[in-house]
Amino acid sequence: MSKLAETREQLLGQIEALQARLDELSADETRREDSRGGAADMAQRRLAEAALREAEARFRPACDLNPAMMMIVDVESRTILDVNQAYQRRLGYAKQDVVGVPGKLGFAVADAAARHDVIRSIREKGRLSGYELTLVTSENEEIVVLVFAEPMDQGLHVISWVDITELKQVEACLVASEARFRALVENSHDVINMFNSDGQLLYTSPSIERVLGFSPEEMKKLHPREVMHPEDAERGHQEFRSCLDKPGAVSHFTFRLRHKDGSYRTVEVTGTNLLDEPGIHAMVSIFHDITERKQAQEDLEQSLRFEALLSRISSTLINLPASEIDDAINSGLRLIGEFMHLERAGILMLSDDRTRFSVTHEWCVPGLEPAMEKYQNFPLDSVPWARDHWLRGEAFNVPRTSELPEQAAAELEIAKSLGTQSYISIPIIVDGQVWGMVDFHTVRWEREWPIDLVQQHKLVGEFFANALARKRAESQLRDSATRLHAIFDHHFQLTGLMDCKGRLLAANKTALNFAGADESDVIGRYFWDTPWWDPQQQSTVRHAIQRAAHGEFVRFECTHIRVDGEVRDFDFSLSPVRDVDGNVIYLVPEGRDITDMKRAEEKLADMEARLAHVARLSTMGEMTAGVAHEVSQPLHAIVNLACATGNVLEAEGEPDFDDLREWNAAIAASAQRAADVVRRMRAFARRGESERSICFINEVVRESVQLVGFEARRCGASVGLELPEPSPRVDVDRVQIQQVLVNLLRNALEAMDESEIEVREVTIRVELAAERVEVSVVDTGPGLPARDELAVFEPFSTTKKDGLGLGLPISSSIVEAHGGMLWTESSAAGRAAFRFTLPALPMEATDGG
Amino acid sequence: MAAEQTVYVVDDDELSRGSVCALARSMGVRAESFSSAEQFLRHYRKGQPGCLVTDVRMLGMSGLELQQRLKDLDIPLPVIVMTAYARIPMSVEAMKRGAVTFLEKPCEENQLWEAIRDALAQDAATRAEFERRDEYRRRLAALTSAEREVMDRVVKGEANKVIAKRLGVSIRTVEARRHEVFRKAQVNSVAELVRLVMSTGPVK
Repeated sequence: MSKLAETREQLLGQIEALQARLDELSADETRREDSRGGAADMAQRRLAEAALREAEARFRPACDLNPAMMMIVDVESRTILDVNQAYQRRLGYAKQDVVGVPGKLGFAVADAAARHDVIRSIREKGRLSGYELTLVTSENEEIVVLVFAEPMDQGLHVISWVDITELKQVEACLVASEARFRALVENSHDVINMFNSDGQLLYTSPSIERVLGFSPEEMKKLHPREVMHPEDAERGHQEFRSCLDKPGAVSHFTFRLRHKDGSYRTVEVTGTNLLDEPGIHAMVSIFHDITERKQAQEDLEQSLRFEALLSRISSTLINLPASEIDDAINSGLRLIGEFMHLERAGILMLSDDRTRFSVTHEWCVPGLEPAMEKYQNFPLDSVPWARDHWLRGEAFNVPRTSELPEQAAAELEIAKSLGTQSYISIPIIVDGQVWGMVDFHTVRWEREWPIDLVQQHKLVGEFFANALARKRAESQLRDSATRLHAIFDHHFQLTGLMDCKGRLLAANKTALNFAGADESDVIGRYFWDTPWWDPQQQSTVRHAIQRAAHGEFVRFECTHIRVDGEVRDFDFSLSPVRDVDGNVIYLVPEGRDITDMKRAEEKLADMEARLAHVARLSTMGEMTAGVAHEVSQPLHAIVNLACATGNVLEAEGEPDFDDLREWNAAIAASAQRAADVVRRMRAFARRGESERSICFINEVVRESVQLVGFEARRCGASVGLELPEPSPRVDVDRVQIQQVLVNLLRNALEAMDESEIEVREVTIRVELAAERVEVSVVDTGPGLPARDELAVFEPFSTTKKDGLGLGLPISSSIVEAHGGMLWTESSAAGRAAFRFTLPALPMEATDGG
Repeated sequence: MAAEQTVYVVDDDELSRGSVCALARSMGVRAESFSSAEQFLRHYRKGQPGCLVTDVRMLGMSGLELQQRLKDLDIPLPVIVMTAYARIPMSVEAMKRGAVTFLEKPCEENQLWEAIRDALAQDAATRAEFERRDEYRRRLAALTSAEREVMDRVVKGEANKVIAKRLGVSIRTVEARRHEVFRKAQVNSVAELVRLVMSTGPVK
């Protein structure tokens, strides 16, 4: 507003100054006229003419420089006598074409009536001030001028036209809509246009250049159709037409205009029909450029559509079974690629050791060669630049492959081979671990990858990462399920699954094959009613299932008849399976064929018994001297007694019968003693079958001591017994336990015999503790060197010259076979102590041995 | 000094011990039994006649140790060693120590009987020998030192005149002393005298 007013003030100021000059000029002319007359007049006239020429010479430039169009005219003859340069410039007519031609005056005035009006006014009043007139320039442009006229001498007049065309146009806009005009002025982006009813652009504001690149002048020379987007031209015309019919109508519409650079800008137009508005008489349109806004909006819409696409891909991936994930990823790549107008999209997966990568999924537009085949197990180190990004889990984009850095020479080569112009690489990260990358490529053009686009592609990477992770997990799970089933089926044991009622839900192949049954024969049947059990076992099995259903682990030995009729021994168990709440939901029956194991065990036991026997025989061999002594002692007595009896009987006289009776009894006792020794030895030497019997441990100890009695005497050692009364009872192979004791006793005796000690004692103590009997054999010998404490249990480890070194190992295995253990420890006094335990039977009320 | 011979039986085995005592009794010989060598040693008095029947293996002192001890104590009791566990070295050692018999248990019929009989006989013989020697010693003890001096030289085989010359006495004196020696020693010849002197042990 203020700017316009200023312009207006300036113009009016100029006009006033011009007026003042014209007044001055005409006053001079009047003075020159007054001094005219006579010869003197001639001289004066010459002088005056000279002055006039001088004045003219002075004023001509002033006139020429005056921005107002000026002319000197003869109103009577309607002849233009002179025009200034502004006239020629603004109207476009050459001076020679208009000067001196009678009747030419006013030819440029568009309206004939106005022309006459003006000429008549000048002729009658001699002067005219501020008359508004429309002129047509040589280029057929209408301009609005204010007309000023001043009379000169000789009936001539000076007429000046002041161009107010722009002013008028601006005023028209002001009148049409003060508010909009203000907005227009304040928002320099808005462009104001005025059209006549033919659609010809009368005016456009300079801001047009900012929007469309054309200057207002260039713009005016263009037809609206040349500027309009071809698709919008018809609509624009319609809008204009419909507006044209309704004076004062305001319409809003949007269309695209061509920028000088050939691109199209979208403008939002407000059109107003002000044809009837005084001083305007134009269709006024104001538009502003919304290309960016529209672009942003389109981008937003694009982005929303993209997000919708992503979420579709994502939900597809989430709901798919693992087997279909690969296809879904491939189609996801295609959808994104097509949507983004890309040419190639692919997934590169790193090897487990992160030294190689392979293209696992790919989409590319038809005509491009897929990269998948070429990039399998490709060394990661061959693309160091990309590798560093990848391993750091960084997304990166390359708008122009030609601008790849020097160190990415290999990457550039690959891009060239693929025809890639620009690409983006997004890491696939699962649990913080980089698994691979999603790559998107363009081939036909380069493109920028704005930050939000990169973000969205990162989302793609995440979707794929999740899907791939799920696929891997599921495939592992499936593998694991397959494996589990394989284990189940091919398990060496017979196994299955049943519900708590005992109905069989599954049986493994081993079990089915064992019974020669098909699944259909057994599944759904009560377990005790299956071919594995014979009728006698049914109640046992039912009872076991009831117990297991109450949460008990049930285990027992049984026999199953194999399909070939062979009876096999089984270690059978029922394990309850509980749910998270602890309720038993299934039972797992399991049968371990222990036939062979049992046979092996029996064989082993037999072998051990035989070995023990051999060891006993060996011991007996070593004990021969002792045995001989034990037997020879009573035999010796018998011989002597018999001899004595013989002597008495042969002597003369009456024999002493008391003596004879006494000796006879002694013979019997001696013979009994010899018989005892023989019996003990025969028992000790008996063949190796293991014979368990319940016996009193004290008896076993005493018998053992008797077996080594001679050896104890021979080395001068006493054997002390500390036996509890009543004697604990044990279920043992009597002879084998004797063997152990004899072995320990003889070891003790020998150890003491070889040493220089004075006091030679072996003490056997039996103690009952909890549910076991502990027997200890402690001697007063030098004890065992510490390092020998374990070594003595090693077979063939012996310090004896003639020992086999089997005594302790066999003793140990005998004790272990009885469910006890044998160990050694050195007592505080450095004596050797051997201890062994045996499971004790509950005490009986009656006294033991 | 108890004149009656006794069989001393040392054995830790009661049956064995009893049977040996029975055998002795059946031979009409007194028997005493001990369950250990120590017990026997405490009881036995030097000079008691008889014999010892001992087992080798016993608690405490063994039979062989007992034999050694008797020897050390200069007790000439004949010893019969018995063992159920005979070894040659052991028997040789026992023999060296002067055991009369070494028997293995069980011995053959009458073997022990004979051994006891022999042992008692030996004991009796030894004792008779000892008594004879004592008699000779008593006879020699009756000699004067001059007579003794002449006897020693006679035993060495010196002639009377050599003796007279060495001793610086007359030959008659030598003959007188010599006669007195023959009378006191109750011998009739130089040979008898030599045997008598020899049997009394080393010449003092």
